[in-house]
Amino acid sequence: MNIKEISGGVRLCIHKTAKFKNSVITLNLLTPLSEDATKYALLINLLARTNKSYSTIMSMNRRLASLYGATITPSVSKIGEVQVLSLSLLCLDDRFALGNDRVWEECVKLLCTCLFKPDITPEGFREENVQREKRLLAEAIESRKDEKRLYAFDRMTEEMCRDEIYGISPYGRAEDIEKITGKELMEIWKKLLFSCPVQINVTGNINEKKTEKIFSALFDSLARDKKAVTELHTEFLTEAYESKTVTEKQKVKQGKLVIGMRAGMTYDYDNYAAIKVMCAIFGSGTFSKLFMNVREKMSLCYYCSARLINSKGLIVVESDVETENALKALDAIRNELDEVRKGNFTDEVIINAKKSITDTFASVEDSIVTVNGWMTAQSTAGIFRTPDSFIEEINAVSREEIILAASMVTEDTVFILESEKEEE
Amino acid sequence: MDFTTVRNELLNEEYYEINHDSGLKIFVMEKPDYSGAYAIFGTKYGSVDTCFRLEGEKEYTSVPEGIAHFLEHKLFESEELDAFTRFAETGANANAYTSFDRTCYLFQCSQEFKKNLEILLDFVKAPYFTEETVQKEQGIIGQEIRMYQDSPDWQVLFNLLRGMYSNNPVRIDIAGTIESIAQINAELLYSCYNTFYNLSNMALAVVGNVKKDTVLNIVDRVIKPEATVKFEQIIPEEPKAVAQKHIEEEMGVDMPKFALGFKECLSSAVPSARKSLTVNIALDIIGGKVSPLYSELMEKGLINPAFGKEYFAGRGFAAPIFTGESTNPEEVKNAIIGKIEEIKEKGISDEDFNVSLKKMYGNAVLAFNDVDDMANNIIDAYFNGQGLFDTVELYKTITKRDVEKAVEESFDTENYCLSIIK
Repeated sequence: MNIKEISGGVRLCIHKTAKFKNSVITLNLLTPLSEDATKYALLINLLARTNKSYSTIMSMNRRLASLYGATITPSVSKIGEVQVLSLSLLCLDDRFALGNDRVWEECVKLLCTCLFKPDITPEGFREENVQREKRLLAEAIESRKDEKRLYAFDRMTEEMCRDEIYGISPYGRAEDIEKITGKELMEIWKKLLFSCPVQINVTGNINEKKTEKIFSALFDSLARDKKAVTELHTEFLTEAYESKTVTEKQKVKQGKLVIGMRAGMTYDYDNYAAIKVMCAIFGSGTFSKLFMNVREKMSLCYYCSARLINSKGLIVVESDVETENALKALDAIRNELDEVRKGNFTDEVIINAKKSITDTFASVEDSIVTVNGWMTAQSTAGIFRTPDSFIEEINAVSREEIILAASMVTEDTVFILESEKEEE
Repeated sequence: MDFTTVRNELLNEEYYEINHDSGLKIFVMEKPDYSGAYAIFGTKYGSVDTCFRLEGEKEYTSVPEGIAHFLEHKLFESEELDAFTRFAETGANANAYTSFDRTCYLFQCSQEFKKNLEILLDFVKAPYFTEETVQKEQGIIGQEIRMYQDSPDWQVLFNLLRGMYSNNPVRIDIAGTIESIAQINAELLYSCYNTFYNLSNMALAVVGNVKKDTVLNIVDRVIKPEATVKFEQIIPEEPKAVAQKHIEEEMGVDMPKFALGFKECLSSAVPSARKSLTVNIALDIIGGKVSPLYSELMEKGLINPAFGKEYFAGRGFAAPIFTGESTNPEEVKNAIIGKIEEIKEKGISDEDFNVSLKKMYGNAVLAFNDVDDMANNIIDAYFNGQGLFDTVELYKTITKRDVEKAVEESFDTENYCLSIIK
């Protein structure tokens, strides 16, 4: 991976490889997570759907199809307290085009048109487009609620981080949609272009110099002031002040249990390796305590796993469980964490955890999706790190460091989605 | 043992197809520029295989619904170390899945490939079921079944299948029901295992940073030759017409979901690669993102980007289907049917055909990026009696007329079912 600052606040990451038959370019626009999250979420969809050159859905989609089914996909996510707005282009490598079609250049042109030349008038984005995107965003938010695993996870995060910026959903809030105007959207679009930190990920069989030239020229032409680039920051709470339980009832067949914990981190890579290994022993993978005991031995659920969200210093346990077994599962999960704190795990499990983590790191570059995901995950980090650079640190973690990392974990919020029985 | 090299110039890809002495079919695609490898070991046995007869036996054996999936879970266990524990020692990411017509076991790794392949072959070929472990699994799978019952996307599809099919077991949830899995015992599991996990009914595909000879050395060592087990898989006769035209379920979702399927009667067990490709192009022309219908429904507020389509086909079943979210699924259905009728009457324009063809070709090439996709596709193609490169090659010869014919044959606008989740 080749990392370079090409213009004020613009980082270009290139992974040149001929092994894929496609290439990917992702433009990541980074902005502090804020009350404007809904506007930004709407904006990125609007930019991907149509633009000045292709002003209808059909003309845009037909253009993409004629470029061998290239896609430009908008997405939003959060990394710590940063909202990441992405426009991602996936296109066929020129080597596999039929005849002498120049797919790549045309696709890059189209992607840049989306970001830099939207379909706007002096009054802002066109009303009909704004209205359509409002409907689509509202439906996407509703639809996310219908997937109960996501719903339970979102609700736990919201409850746990109620007083923190992190509690804001990057996908937007339904009640904020209606009042958004085309003019406001144009203003935040301009603001983004001039001041947000940008990371451009590029993977594929591409010409590095040419790529750099295209994007340097585009961002240089904006005359971005390096000093005016928005600063990004995430607040870390090292421990939970009090533990709370939130319960909700819905007409579902199966309940969900989500537990949010604070990992004791003060920044995104603080004691990262030890916490990562500890979290794996506790609940990631089939060798973990949660899988072996809560799922396999106690037969309480189909999934029960823990993962580390290092960008905010959280460990989240997710499980599906019958409502009458929820408290039993909660006790079992707490008990397993205690076992890790007490050091009740074998040396073999430490090796298993390390191998599982390093195996994943070692194969990041085998897929266009995982390379791109890795790059995006690094976009808010001051120093860009490659997967390889973590392997040594992971392997160096000692038993004592694992126990110490586990002792720093504090339980913050338990969210239980209960199934409301028909007769009630 | 004999092998052939299957090569495709356009993609600059090749793989070995090997007939191993044990009776196992093996595929190896060497990809030295990748750091890891992916292996998949599968049997042509899935949730639809609930009735079979061994050669020489008089009686048909009927087994509980969901048994293929149950067997998949149980195979990970053994008398000593279970497969998960063994894979944990190497750091590989191991998994398995059961679909309507196959069950596959797999791993992906970037270290200790040889050991991983040995574990994979060994645990799949060493069944160990006891009444006690069967009971424990009923709890875990029971939770899996319930989890899917709460998934509106899953329910809308299975309701559609129940609406389209009267007898074909494709109408039954892959995992079965809480009641059906309660009837499973160790003896039944062995009976299914001994029938369907015969090497002659299985295949192994490996793609990644490995050598053919490495794979073969391990297979030679671990896999013992087996006498071929011959059997008949019985798929009940299915009426031509759908069971129900409309099926609706209340789940209290915020965003209603729908699935619309056109039931087809198959002349052969599985649609050919050519048939699948032409139906997929037809689906794209009718309602793909490039189509006027897509834009129209989008602008009218009737669909959103969740709108999609697929040719749902396997052993004994085939149906082009449209799925999505809509506040008015009936109107979406009417618009789709209207569009199909229009194409049947007026034909397809050259431009529409060329745009979709180019797009679908691009999508087909996309399947040659990741080692897992390539290995899965090799197994899929083989179990369907095809080769991995068949689809990419077909683009050269498909004509507009082929696609028009596919619209006439596979989209019977009288024989549809609309499934809605509210």
